[in-house]
Amino acid sequence: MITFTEISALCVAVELVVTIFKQRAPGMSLDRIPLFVWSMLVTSFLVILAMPAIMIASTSLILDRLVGTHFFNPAEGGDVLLWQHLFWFFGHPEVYIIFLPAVGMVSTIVATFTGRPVFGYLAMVMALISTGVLAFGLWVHHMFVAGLPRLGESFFTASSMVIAVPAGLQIFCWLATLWMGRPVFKTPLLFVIGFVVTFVVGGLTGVMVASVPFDTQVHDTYFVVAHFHYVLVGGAVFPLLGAIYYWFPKFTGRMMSETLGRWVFALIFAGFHLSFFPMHILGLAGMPRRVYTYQPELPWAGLNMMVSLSALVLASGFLLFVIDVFRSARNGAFAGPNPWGAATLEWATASPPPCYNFRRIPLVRSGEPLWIDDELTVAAGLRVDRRELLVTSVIAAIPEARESSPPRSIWPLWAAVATSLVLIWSIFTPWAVVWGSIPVAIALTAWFWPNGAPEEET
Amino acid sequence: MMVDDDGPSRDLRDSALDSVDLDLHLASTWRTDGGLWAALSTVDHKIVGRRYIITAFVFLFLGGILSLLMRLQLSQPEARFIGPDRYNQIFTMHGTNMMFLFAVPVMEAMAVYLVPLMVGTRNIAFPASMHFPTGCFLPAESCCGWPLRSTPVPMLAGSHMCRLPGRNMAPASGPISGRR
Repeated sequence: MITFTEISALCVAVELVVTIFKQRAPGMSLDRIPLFVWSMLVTSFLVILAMPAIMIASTSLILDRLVGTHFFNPAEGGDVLLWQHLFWFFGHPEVYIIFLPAVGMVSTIVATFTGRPVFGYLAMVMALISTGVLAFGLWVHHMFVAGLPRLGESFFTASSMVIAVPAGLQIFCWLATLWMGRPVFKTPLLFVIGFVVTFVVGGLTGVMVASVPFDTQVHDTYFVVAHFHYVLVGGAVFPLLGAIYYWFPKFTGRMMSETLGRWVFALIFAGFHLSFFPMHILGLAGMPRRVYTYQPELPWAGLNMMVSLSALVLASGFLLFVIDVFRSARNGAFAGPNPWGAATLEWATASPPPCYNFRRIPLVRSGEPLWIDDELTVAAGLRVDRRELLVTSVIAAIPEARESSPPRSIWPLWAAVATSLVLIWSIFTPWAVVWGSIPVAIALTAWFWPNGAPEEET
Repeated sequence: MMVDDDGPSRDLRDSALDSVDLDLHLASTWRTDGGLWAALSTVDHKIVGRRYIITAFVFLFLGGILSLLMRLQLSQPEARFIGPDRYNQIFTMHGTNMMFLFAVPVMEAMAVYLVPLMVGTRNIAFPASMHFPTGCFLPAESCCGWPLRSTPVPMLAGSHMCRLPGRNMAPASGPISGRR
């Protein structure tokens, strides 16, 4: 199952890298790319570099189970530490694969609702890239109790603390933007504020567990459960919900409710903190994670009851969110092309966008195209009688060629279904790989059968 | 929105048309027809992206239900709502589901929808490969219900892997799932 999502993540990552490098509108040089797009570029590279490790790990594991190899079996000379290394070499960048897109969403929302570009664009981009690089030097901090050499532990303690620098830098850039702009506290910005508060708490406990002596104390306790829910829910789910409120008008052409949105935020923010903050205390009081029950003599019962009740508050917030989505999709107020007065190109077209996205390809002359020009200058010369895209250069986005975009085809879906069946089948027998490769090969051959269309024209 | 076309037009450029004509021509070139077959084979990044976002949110709610079951079990000491084996399966699936079927896919889904619009292009690169995510999602889902019965999640399930000689080590990565 995990291999499915790895394959799909790799496909999407390659598509995004190529789209961002070669298909930007003319004039959108590297220093004019929106920060969300930058964050997705870094994320895509993390996916491409980190996912193969977990694919090797899960493939070796299935080989251990099906064909009797012993990669991870110490009794036969295998090494269980190898699993941990492979898993966490993927697992730590994975955290940033989830977190960096959220960072991009936060930057986008902050810029729109303060009415000014994010403070320190270059510093933000550098922070994204350095987070992406450092993400690969942190994985051992999940393995401090595995009995590794001291020197290694010290190195990974230091690097785990270094990662707080780019994270802190971005927090201060957003605060500076809020400080210098005129913030309008609509629902998306409320979720961003909730993100900053929650993520800073999660970041501080992160610095705490980065130190080996402390980590040895709280390893496998509820303190760690609290920490990673603070960084993942606070760091990714809050910005994501803000992003749904922000881009919902673009997706559907209708606004979500501002009143319900405030309730959703209040319930989720309060429910989250009430249910996860006590887990820090439970962890410090020694409650281990992954236990299904505990004895009445232990002093954990009261806090656990509180956590469970608060989880209901959190769940009711999500329920209200779903109600708001369905209600707004049907009856929301009409949005118009640019309801928030935002600066980036997706707001230059209708909501929801037509199937061809833009009537004419815009010409970009600054990082905030819609704030600079009332009427966007456009590039012309693309064919309209077939699907054609404009290919531009990587750095300065100078037009280079017209490239055809493929028409619809059912074969990619068959290829995906065939691959999935092979993977499910291979849980039970290794012969699945042999026989299953036949339908995969047929689907791929049909998909890539040359159709005689010219590839590109300059 | 059909365009009356008098024969195949050769090399028609957008510079040669006014806004209304241009919209009609572009729509007929890029549109996705109605019907299930067209919806399944579409290469429109917005249609695939939207489908992908909705699916990821469905998984968020499934994972959320699992977490509520766990909180129900833990709300009181020695509760007998869920047994140890089932509890292991539930938290394994909660974690796997939230990370692999919600968090990563939903971020990619947002990007599939938004990035082409934000960089100002008509479609994502290699649009047909977008079907890998969606095509792999439904089987992944069916696989997801499976472990609740038999725990074949390929993780460190074997108990011999959880104990190293001389060290009391829990696998930092793998959930300690019960064997079937």
